[in-house]
Amino acid sequence: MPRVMTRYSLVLLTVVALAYLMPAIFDTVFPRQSTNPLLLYSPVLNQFIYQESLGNHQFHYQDEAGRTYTRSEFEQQLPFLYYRNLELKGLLPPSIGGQAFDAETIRAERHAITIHSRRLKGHFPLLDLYPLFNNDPRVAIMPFPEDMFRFTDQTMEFINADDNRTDQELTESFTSALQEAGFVFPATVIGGNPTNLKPFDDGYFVRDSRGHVFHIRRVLNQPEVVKTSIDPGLDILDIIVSEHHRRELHGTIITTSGKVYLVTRESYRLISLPISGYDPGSMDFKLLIDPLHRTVTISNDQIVHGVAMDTAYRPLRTFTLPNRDLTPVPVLFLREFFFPFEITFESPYRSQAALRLVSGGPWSFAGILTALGLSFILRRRPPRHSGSWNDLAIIAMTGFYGLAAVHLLDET
Amino acid sequence: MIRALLFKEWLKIRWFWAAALAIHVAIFLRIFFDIRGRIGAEHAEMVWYQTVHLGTLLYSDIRYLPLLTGLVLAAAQFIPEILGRRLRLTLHLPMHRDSMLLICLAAGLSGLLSLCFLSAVSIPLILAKTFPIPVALSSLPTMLPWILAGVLAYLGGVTLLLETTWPRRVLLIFVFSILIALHYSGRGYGWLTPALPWLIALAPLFLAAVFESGRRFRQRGA
Repeated sequence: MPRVMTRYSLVLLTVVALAYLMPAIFDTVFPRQSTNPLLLYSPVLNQFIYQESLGNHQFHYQDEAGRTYTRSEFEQQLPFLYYRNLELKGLLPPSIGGQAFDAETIRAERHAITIHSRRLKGHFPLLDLYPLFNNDPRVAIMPFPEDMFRFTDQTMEFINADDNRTDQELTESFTSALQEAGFVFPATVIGGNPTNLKPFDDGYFVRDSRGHVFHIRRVLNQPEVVKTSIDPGLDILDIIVSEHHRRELHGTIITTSGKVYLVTRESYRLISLPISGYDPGSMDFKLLIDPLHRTVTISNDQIVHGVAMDTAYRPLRTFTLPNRDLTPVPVLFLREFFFPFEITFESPYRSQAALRLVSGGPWSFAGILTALGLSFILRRRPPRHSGSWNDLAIIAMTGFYGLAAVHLLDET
Repeated sequence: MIRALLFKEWLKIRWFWAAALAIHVAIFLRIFFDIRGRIGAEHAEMVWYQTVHLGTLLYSDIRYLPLLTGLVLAAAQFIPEILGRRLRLTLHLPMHRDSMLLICLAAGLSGLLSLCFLSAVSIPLILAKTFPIPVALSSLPTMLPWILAGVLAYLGGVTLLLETTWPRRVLLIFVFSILIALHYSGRGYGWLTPALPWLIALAPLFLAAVFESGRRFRQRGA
């Protein structure tokens, strides 16, 4: 193998190792800080109010109009969120928005749906095997079923965990029920909660190969399949079922184009949420329901955007807040200067490796020029042969990583 | 001559390979009985839930086995050669240095990959006895980064043993350790699956590193 190949293979390995490790060490020593805002809608102020982190467990509280608050004042503007604290302190207001609410009413009317990008379909490793809980009104707790189901190309197959064999009876029963309801195999999206830590079980929502969405439950060990009226033309990315004691919603549908629909319990009617700019691949979504309002926030590492709605999900007010970087400027400068790029497997939006080459910033060019200058000084002579020019090209592309690699691996 | 060289390498590693085989089999048995014990102690459906939805790996005992096997085989093949200065003689046989090294590496890698193949067959079979086929098959992409780490550990180990200077050896230990540690990132099954093509691409670069150290070894007349 030509020497140029063997040497530069080692140089490349060194650059990759440094570009993976050094920025991570730097971030451990000098942690990145941002305001990481918590944006909420105040039914007292009828405007958005937010909390920003200042670092070292210090927070800043402010509303849209720029008025600042103490922690206690902040909580008083959000009685539906902090009702327990306010009740203990005797600060729960007698009326909110002209209506009286006691703590019990508030508790019964609150509901939060949080959808992290990293938990969306395709963003984490998933084996399509699910427990289908049996709805039996005679049993108080929700026992785990002895089987799990999966969708094959032609059946909804139940596999018994005790003997690891297909349960023919259940498989035929559910497959027949699905076929009678008009389900066309295979399934394309499966949404449900595979846990018994929930107040009741609402089964699974499954999209068939024609785009129709079916609601599948197991009631007294028998299939209950409903072909919903959900538009088969929707480009559904994921269906998030949320079993909540309010029983207003079955769950949430996220489409690949970033539209969000709530599936109501009223004949599966969809409510389209009035949000724009939502990218499910790189943003987190949160819906807060309280007795007077519905508030959606979507966020990424750059912004948080909120839409406040009335109880009919009609938009009332929107507000966008930047997630400001609080990292000291010298730290940002040093990071960009020394690291023209970094290699990382981690992503805040995936629970699975996502190899990314993240570029530095404007100061990286200064770092590269400095690395080139240092290379000349270390050599003590101008480049003469092709090897030297190759080394300089490596340094010009990779900055200090390349400088370290070519000089530490220098033959002399 | 190739057959003779391969036979010579096999003679060097055979007892180490046999010991590694015995350890592999012992760990497969341990995994098998562990799973059986868990199923006996808990409800089977709960063990399924932990495996499928909580990402519990019931075969993580083999995680570092390819890595250790790779390092042991590299040491078994090259330490006696270097200490006894026999590699110098081998490199002067009428065959190109790189071809000679490649034959030595082929022998070691065959030993390593045969054990990895055994793992890749045994673990899914053990899992398939208790779990549905998708769970058994998910062990393959999960184990592949560990197997790649074993291959890189073997190639990296040979590179270090052939290297003649300590400063460079320290640098290589640093670089190889980081790159091998990458293969153990994440948790649960299939975490590294999207990055597998990139991890596989590291192997040819490690192979080239062996040739670089081989060249330096011969030039320095060690």
